[in-house]
Amino acid sequence: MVSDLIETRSLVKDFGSIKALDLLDLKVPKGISGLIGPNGAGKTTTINILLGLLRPNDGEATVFGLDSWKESYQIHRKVGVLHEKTAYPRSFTGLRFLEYAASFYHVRQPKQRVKEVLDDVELTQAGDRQIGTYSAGMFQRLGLAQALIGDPELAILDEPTANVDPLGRIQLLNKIKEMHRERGTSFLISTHILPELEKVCNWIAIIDFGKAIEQGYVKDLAEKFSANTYKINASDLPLLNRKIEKMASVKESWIEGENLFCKTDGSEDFFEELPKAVVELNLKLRSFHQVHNTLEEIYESAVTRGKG
Amino acid sequence: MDTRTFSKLIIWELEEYWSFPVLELVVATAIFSILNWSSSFITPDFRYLIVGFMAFGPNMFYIVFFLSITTGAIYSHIFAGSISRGETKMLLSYPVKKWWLLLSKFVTNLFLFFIIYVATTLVNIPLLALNPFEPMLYITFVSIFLQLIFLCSAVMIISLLLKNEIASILVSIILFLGIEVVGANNNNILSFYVRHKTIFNFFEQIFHNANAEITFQEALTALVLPVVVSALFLLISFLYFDHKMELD
Repeated sequence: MVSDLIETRSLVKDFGSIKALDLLDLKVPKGISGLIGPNGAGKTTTINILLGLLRPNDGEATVFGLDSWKESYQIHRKVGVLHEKTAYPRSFTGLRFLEYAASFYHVRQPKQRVKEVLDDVELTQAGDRQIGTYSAGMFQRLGLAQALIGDPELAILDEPTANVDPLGRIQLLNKIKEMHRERGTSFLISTHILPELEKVCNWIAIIDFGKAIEQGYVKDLAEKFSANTYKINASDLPLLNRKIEKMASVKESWIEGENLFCKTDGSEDFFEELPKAVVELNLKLRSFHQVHNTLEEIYESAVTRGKG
Repeated sequence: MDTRTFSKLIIWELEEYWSFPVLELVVATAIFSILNWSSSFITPDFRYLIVGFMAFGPNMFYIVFFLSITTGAIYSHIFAGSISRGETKMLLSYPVKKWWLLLSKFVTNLFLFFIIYVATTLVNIPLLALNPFEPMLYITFVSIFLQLIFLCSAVMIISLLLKNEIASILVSIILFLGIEVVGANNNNILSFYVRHKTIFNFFEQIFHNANAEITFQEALTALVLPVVVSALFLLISFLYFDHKMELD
């Protein structure tokens, strides 16, 4: 029984003197997952290895438990792909191209399915136009349509929202969530646009210099990277801040807008000291909770820590 | 083999063939090279020789020159161009086996190339009042077909190794013209000119009792050599593409 959708073990890939992947270990579960990292971090190389288009110099990569290089054909039967750089036949109409894609996946009613995916990506009106006349955004929608046409178990999308207008991005992300919810399709999305990823992903891996510097469920990582940071709303914030600053368990505190933030050393003392201080100062404690970082903040912290 | 996917790949290739500039380039060069035969002198008693002018006259230059250039350019566009544009990568991300893709590209384009060449040659039948039942006409087609297989398999292997359209075009054309010039000057069987002359003269002995003194062994070598070399190139290409080649 395969629990992880994708697994890489000590994956190494060199392009001459450039080390694109350096002992990359990943365990991607089912669901909507994100692959993030700076330019040249090795995201596209990882995707190409997973698809059997590149052969690793060392290590192992499996998708659905199948070897990515030796069993790529079997993998492709279950996977839909949107590459970052696409090369669709410009002389074909969108409709014709998708009919081909459907036939490669042996879709039972290709014409019907083509209509469905064109509707899904809102490209129905342009279906009978030549691909060469498409705008960059339409090109990207077509790419998504061809990735989803075979109703794959896993869709690998490399920069799916590039060149798509803001409204189109929202629709696209909603479509991803909907497909996952209704059909159980898993997604592996590589993107630079983190707030978007945050809206759909439940798992992420942060890659830098060919290594996975962090990976896990977004919720867990948010907790990990924001651990010991708290947001407090009380009646007299400056007064409370002065008191908190003096606590041995508090490393740092500051007021931001209507709230007081503080970073502790992680000891349990803070949870005793804070209520005492509130009572002592006769303040009203309106709210108190742990801060969960955004994906951008997690990413920044992870990359900074990785470099450090 | 999944024949449905394979036939779809062939139809895909055919549809792509109709898009500029592949078809236009092949037709234009084929017409140009074939119609050049018309400028040669024809003796009424030996009309069949018009086809064989390639073997005897200066027009052979056009055939060799254009066959080398068009095959080098178009096959490089189809193989190396498809790799560098990312089309091969896209197709191989579908459930398509690598060797199906390579075979479909090779077969489709070889036959289309040949059909276009034959079609333009056939235009010469009424133009030059040739006898369409003249066996030497068909011997010439066989000879051209063998040369096409050789050229196409050679460009394919060059394209796969270089993965760059322009580099592949240059290397192929320089290589083909180089082999032709050196081979023809030394009367070497590697040259299409020499091979065609051998094949043509051998069958001319049979069908028209000409006295060219070509032995069966020489004719067989001229016929088999391009087939063997092409088979070797194809095998290397398929093994390399299927087991070794990476697409970035």
